[in-house]
Amino acid sequence: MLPTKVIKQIFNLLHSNISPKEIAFGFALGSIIGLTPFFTLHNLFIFFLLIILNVNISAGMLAVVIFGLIGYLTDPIAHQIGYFLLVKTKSLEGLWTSLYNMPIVPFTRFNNTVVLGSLVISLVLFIPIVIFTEKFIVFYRNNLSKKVEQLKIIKLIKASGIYNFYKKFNP
Amino acid sequence: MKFIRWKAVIPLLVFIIGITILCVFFLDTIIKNTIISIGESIFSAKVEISSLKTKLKNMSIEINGIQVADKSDPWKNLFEIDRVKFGMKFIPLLSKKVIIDEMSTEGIKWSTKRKTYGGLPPKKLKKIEKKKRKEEETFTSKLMAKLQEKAKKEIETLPAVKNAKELEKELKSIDINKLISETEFESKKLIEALQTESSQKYQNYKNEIQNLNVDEQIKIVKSLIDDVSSIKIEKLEDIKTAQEKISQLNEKKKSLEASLEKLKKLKTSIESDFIETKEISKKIEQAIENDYKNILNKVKLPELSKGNISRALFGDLWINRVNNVIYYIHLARKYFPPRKKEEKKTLRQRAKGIDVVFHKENVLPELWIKKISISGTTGGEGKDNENAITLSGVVNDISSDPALINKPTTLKIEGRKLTRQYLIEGIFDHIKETPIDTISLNIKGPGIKEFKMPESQFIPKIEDGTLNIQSSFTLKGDEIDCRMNLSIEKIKFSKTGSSKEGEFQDELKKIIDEIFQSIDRIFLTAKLYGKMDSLTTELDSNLDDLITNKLKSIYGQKIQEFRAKIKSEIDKNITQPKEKFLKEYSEKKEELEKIFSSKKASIDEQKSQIEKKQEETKDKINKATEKEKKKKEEELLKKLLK
Repeated sequence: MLPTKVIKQIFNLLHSNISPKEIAFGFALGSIIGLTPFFTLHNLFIFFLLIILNVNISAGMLAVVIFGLIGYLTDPIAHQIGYFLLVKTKSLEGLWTSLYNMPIVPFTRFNNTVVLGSLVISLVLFIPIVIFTEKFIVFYRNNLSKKVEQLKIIKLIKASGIYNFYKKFNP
Repeated sequence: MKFIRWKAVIPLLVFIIGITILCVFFLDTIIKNTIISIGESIFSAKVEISSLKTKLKNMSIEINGIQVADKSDPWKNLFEIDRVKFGMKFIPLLSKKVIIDEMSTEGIKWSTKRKTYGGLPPKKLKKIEKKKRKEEETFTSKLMAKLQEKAKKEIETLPAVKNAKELEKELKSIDINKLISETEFESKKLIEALQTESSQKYQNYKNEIQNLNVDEQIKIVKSLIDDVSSIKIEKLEDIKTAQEKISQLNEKKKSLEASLEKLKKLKTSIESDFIETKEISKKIEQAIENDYKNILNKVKLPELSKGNISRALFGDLWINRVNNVIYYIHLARKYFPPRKKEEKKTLRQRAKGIDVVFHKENVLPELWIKKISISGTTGGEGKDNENAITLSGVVNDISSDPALINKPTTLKIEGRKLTRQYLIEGIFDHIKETPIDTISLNIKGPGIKEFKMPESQFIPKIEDGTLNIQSSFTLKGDEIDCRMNLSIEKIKFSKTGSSKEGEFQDELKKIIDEIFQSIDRIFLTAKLYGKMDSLTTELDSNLDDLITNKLKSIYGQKIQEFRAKIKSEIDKNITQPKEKFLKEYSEKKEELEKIFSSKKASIDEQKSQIEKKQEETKDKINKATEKEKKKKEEELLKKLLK
């Protein structure tokens, strides 16, 4: 996804009538996919949730891209957390051993330090991301949206064909 | 707000079903490509599969026409397999565990000709090698690198034949006179040092003897003796004077005795300092011998020593064979690693993070192939199919966690046809913490053409012969022990020699050719053992004795002549100063001994003179006393008679 497209998408979401809650939950679910390594079973599950639950899919996709980039930075921390939970924490050893020998669960690759660590990070950040995103959208729509609309660059974006095409399908 | 987006459920279901159908439809292709990709990364050469069929009903896979190219010879296959068939258990698959009760592998062939080039594109190969370098910092990979390094060294070691050529060249090019003039002789230095030392000692001893003043003392004694001799003892007063002289003589005698004692001590010291000329000569001879050795070392004449030939001819082949076996053991250790039984988890490094494997007793390992039935042939495309032997065998208990199933992986493949026999046995015991991998290979009776034999510019090509190999390769922990007995019977060598015709059109070539034409059997014993840092290779074959002895008899004479010449040149340079020194040395010793003897004789003589004179004087005193006594008696008698 090109940076201009990402900016456009953010702008469109903020200036739409979609409920802040839907956007916030979609964004938070997408953050899980973005922060954790992509090809894992839990990400497939989150992806299904993103589609089935009444949350904003665009916000989710946007979060996948944004948090995918952030994920590269958090991988070393994720590895440390995963290593601590999988290797250092003796009390959890029994749980991991049972999970490891259960059907289906090993396909989640939970036994990988980066996968588990990043999943823990994304789950811990889930509620804060929901609250922060929702509050930011409300604040933006009440205080900043009109000012931003007056910016030349936004006018240019709005004038582009893509925006109009998008507006057709997202009133 | 509605919680679920019902409108999306049906499209999602349709999407899932679509994806599933697509996966099932392309499952064969996905698995095939995965196998090819893994195979290419393992063998660093092209891997091809004609067809792959999966049956979800019984979870079975059938792979036909596997060809793995040989990276060292891309127009040949490392091996090919006609058909591999196996079924997996469904329930363990859900837990990411592949359990195979029986796998059949049919039509294994190796070193067969390929119709297409089997090398990988350079870009892909580079990528694979880079990945391998990153991953393979294991003990076995290090050992393989060490063995390769050793193989290189073995080739660098020159065989006697090459040495003979070099020897001839070397002998002609050496200027002995220049060599001698440029050499600093240790023996010369030794002679000079000994000369200075002996002169100094000689002078010291001479001075010490001089300081004893023996001649002076003798002079005094003589005059004293003369004095005593001149005394006429007639009166009582004369007796007194004589007695005084006797005591003076006594004193001088004591002083002479003290000087004699000192002289004797000096003699002992001289004897220890001036050792026998024979011994000093021996010392010098030793130094001359060292000089001779040093000059020979400078020349570095190639040794026609035994052992060089088998190392050069078979060293590379032997170490590469060991390396191949180590590579397969390396794969076995990599994919079926040993672990401590009480260990609850193991860590495996991945590109991103670490995979932690949690072990649990009485559960299935990630992979367990209980039995693989194998059948194959020594024939195949581009090989001797008329005399091909059919091979069959089994591999039992391949497991990703051998400690969990408590069984080692075993292998037994055999084939027999008339007098020819192949037997490969292997045990890969990774149950305990220290893995023990053993592979034994026994081959009896096949023609030499079936094998890639070493080629060398020094020996003619082997045209025919039957081969027998008994070998065993053991890797216990990090200690290797490999042994091989190889014999080639009814051997026939090509008369034309090797491809380097020009080099062999000389006398040496004729000799070598003659030797090889007379050989009808080659046997070789090869050993490689020890730990990685101290690997020892031993190679011995009858070729060593045969060729070396023949060459020694021819070139030995030339070497002897050369050495004799060097020896005579050294002698010329050293003999004169040596003889001069030895003469001076013995002269000095003799002179000191002479001085000692003369001084001793003088002292002894004077001592006896003193003793004699003392006796004489005492007699005189006694007589004079008697005379005086009689005189006094007569005077007294006269007085009484008056």
